[in-house]
Amino acid sequence: MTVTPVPVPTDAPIPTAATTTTGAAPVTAGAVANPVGAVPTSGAQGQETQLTDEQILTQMQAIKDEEANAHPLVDHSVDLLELAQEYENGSEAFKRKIQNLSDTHDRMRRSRGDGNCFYRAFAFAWFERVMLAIKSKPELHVNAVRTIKETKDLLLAAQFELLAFEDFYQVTLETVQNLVHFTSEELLTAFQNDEVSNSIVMHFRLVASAFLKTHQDDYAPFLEFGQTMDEFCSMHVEAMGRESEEMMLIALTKATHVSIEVAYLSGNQAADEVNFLPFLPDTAPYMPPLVLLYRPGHYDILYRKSHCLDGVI
Amino acid sequence: MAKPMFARRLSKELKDLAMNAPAGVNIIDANDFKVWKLGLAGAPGTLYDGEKFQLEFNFGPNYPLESPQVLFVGDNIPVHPHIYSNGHICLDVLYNHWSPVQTVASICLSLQSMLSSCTSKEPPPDNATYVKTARANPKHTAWAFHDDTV
Repeated sequence: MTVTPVPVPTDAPIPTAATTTTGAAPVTAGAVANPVGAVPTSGAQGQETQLTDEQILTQMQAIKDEEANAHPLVDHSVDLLELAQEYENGSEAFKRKIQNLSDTHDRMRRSRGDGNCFYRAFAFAWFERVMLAIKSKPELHVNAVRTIKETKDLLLAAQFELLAFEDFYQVTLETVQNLVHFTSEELLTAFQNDEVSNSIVMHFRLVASAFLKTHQDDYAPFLEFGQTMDEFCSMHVEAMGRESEEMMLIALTKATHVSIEVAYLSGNQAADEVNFLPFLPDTAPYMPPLVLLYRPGHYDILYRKSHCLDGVI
Repeated sequence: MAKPMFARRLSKELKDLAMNAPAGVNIIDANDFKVWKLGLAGAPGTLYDGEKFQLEFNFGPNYPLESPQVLFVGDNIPVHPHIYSNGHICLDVLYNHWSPVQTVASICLSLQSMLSSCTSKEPPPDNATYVKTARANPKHTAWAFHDDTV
């Protein structure tokens, strides 16, 4: 896509949202959440001090560190009813639905809300399922390793350059291979490590993108008028931090042969029950679906009570 | 994983560039994994035919998950509606549309095609104001993009 610059750095002061709290770092808050949000300052007019690029970087890193401590990329699992406490003074509908959900689901695990939550939740839930079943159902591990190896061919078929994706692929494959000896704590540590965790997210983004690109006939009709699949994928799938839509869930499910059920927790007053939407691969599922909890704009992991799991783990 | 990811990736990219650099692209200086300088030649038959430009790539420790900082440097900055006279480039893939599937080579190709499709050598309309107020790092600019056929 060709672009024209629209007048850019202005003399406008820094956005107020970023300046009010600390008074120190004007530029950073927006910049971390969204690279476009960075606003150049206009020389030191009045009270705003011009920061050097070096200082901006330091501050951006500090904000990232703070965010990382408050919200790990993937958190420890918690009792599902802890979620209800979030809505203590809020929506009755949410509270009722969580209560009903707790009949069949007992725990949940948060994925950081950084736009990558779906991919990260999917990967963690899948790998954890495989790891916990390593003794009882070793074939899940065999399947997972084979599936990840197959994604390399899928990416090549979609014309991705090996050089550009092999590091992410390699980290993902190594993580899956390591599930044989990982403890729960080690798996969590891996997913809390920026490089490992983001590489896995990136790999699954590319897998979803490659699937859509190699099945254009099926999915192009869902795009906005005039948009090509390549444009859609480069803008919404391949870039980190871009939120996922149902099309990405469908693509990832089919590309990995792993089924998902998404529990939609909405504030809709009319219903007491949570709606479950299944995403099924084309092949017969070889394990019960991973369960994700969706609240508008965000995915976390849900754990179905073991007696509802067909005894898989 | 002894080497950090950016080093692994950049050593592969360097090897690839050394062996099969795109036409008109050459390595001037790539002695570390922080800053690379590349030469970019205007393509034959375009407005920039015969001109030579220099590009500077700055890589952070989160490359390629985060985009490198890319600018034109040296005494010949292309006069182009999307390139400011301080070397800053208005190209979406360098900022909010960055994806790790991009490489140094693919960025060079994008820039070359941006130059090649130019029909009139003019600086951006807001060049003077921008250059006066911009920071050294173009990634700290709030770029706004809209499709155009320029």
